[in-house]
Amino acid sequence: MKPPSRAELRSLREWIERSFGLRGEDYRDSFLTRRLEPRLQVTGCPDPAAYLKHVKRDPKEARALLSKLLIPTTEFFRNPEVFEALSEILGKRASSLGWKPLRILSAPCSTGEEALSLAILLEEAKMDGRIVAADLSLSALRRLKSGAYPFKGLEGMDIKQKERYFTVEENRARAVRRLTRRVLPVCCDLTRAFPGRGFHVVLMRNLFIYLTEAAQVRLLGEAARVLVPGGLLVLGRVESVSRTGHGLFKPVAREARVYEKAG
Amino acid sequence: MRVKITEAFVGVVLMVLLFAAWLDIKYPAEDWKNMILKIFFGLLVGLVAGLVSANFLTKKLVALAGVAEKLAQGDLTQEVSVHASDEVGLLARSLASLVRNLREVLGQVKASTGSMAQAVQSLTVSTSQVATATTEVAGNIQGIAKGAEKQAASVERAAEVTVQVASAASAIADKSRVTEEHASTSAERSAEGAEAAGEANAAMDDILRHVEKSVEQVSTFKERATEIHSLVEGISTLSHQTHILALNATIEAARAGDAGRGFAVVAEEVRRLSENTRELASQIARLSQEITGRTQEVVSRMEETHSAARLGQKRTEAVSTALERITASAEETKEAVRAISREAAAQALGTSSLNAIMSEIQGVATDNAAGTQEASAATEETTASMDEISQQAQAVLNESNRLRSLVEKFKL
Repeated sequence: MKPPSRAELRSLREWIERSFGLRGEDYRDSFLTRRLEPRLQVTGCPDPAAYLKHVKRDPKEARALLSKLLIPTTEFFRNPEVFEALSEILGKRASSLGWKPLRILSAPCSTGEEALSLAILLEEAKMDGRIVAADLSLSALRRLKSGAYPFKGLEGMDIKQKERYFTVEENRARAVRRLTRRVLPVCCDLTRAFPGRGFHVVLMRNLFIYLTEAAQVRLLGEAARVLVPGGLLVLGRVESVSRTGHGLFKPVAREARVYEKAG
Repeated sequence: MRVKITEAFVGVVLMVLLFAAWLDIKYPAEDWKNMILKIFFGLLVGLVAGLVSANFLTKKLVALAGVAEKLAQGDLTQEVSVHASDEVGLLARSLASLVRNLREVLGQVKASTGSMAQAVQSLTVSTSQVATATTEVAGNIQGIAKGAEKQAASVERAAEVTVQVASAASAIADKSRVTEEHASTSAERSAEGAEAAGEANAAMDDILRHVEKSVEQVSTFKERATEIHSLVEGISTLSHQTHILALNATIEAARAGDAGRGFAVVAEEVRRLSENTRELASQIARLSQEITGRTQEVVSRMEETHSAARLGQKRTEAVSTALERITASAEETKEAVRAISREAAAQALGTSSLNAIMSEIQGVATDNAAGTQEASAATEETTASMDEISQQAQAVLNESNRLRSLVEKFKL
């Protein structure tokens, strides 16, 4: 595929913004280019310009492209070392800073595995708290609401956790009520604004990797806005605040990418 | 051969008409009853003839219907065994060919669903392999990201240190410039000091010379005093002799009685004079003695002064030497500090280019971090695609299973 020109990318961004309300300029060129390629192949469009024309006319293709722009990859206890570090830090801070009940934001939450993992973490630590799970994809949130997951996604848990927190149905596992009642799914576009405030922890993992540096700076500002003083920010394993968030956050566990709101 | 049924029908109609004609000829119509009878007979004969021919046809059709019934139940193992050259035979042959074709097609479909299931199975295996590989790649990327993060942090620290070193170097350069000035000033001052010490030495020399001369001169005083002393002794001797002489004259005058009375007065006067002279001489002797003593004192003071001046001279010489040495080492210090200043300047220059290198490394580290984010995004997308493929594969598998269960309703 011929890579899209700057003008084509700009036109794509404008259209994305008009059609889905997503802030097109926040997404990296490389990401949009990668996402465009398979749609071109599927629709048989010879070049990006032709595809743009096509997608503007075809609402079905527009939906297909939107689903390509929201990457739902997640799993239970993804990067377990992060959860271990977070559990340890939370254990200390919650009691010393009087964080009770804990307010946690999982953003973006995709199909909610992270939010439910946090619910399990709270259950196991016998901590009082709720998790706000925010995502733009309604279909992803619907899965979280149903609490039903294919068995494959449960590999990150040990057998005891699976038994304790899930009931087995025909070809999937369903999270028990005391997990799902801790999680509140919210549909929102995080690049616009974070939902609510007064959070003790914000998990914003693997979102930066799709976004431009300007968008990253803005999102760090948003995270700082909704966090309480000393609140924790958890980023993805390849993301960091070192380039973009000087002054707003300082590392607590550099390896696990856990930061705290400075000042 | 192809229009047998039509022929039979036409035959039956002809037979009915012939029979009716025959009845009409044999029993000419007399009234309507006969007419009805004729028609009744005609119909009866026609019916019998039709039934006979129909029975002949239906036998074959029933056989075919049996085959069709079994086909409808999905049994495609049926062989069509109706052989005839009429329309029924045609139908039978068509049916046989339909069965053959169906058997062939469904057999192929069955085989296809089998291989489709296999393909989906291997697709699933491949997908899970790709997923595993992607997870590994993601792990590696995270490793790289960790390294890049550490690198960035180290470089940041190194850059900070470099800045410190640079500022230290420039501080050293500044300080060493000041030190150089100080060293230069002290060299000058010590040179001046050495000069002053030389002058002091010369002055000491003068003092020594003067003191020596004074001692010499004072020593002549002593000699003169000694001379005076011997003169006074001479005077004393003279006055003593005069005294004895006066005594002798007094004695002689007494012996002479009254004639000597006047002479005795003169002798007495002479004795008094000699006594006065002796007194004066002894006063002079005391004075000259005192002069000698004082002179001695002055000489010893002067000797003390001399030796002090000599000591002073030695000291000023030492001071002068020390100052000369100080001047030399101040010069050396000046040179050394100048060298330090040069080195510090070079170091400051070096750290600034080190800074450039650091920021270059920092740039690379930043690029690496950005690269790992990019790669991580790509692996996330790949994982999402793999999940999608798995779902699609599952859907295909489900469809193919449904198809197979449909096909399996047929007996081939």
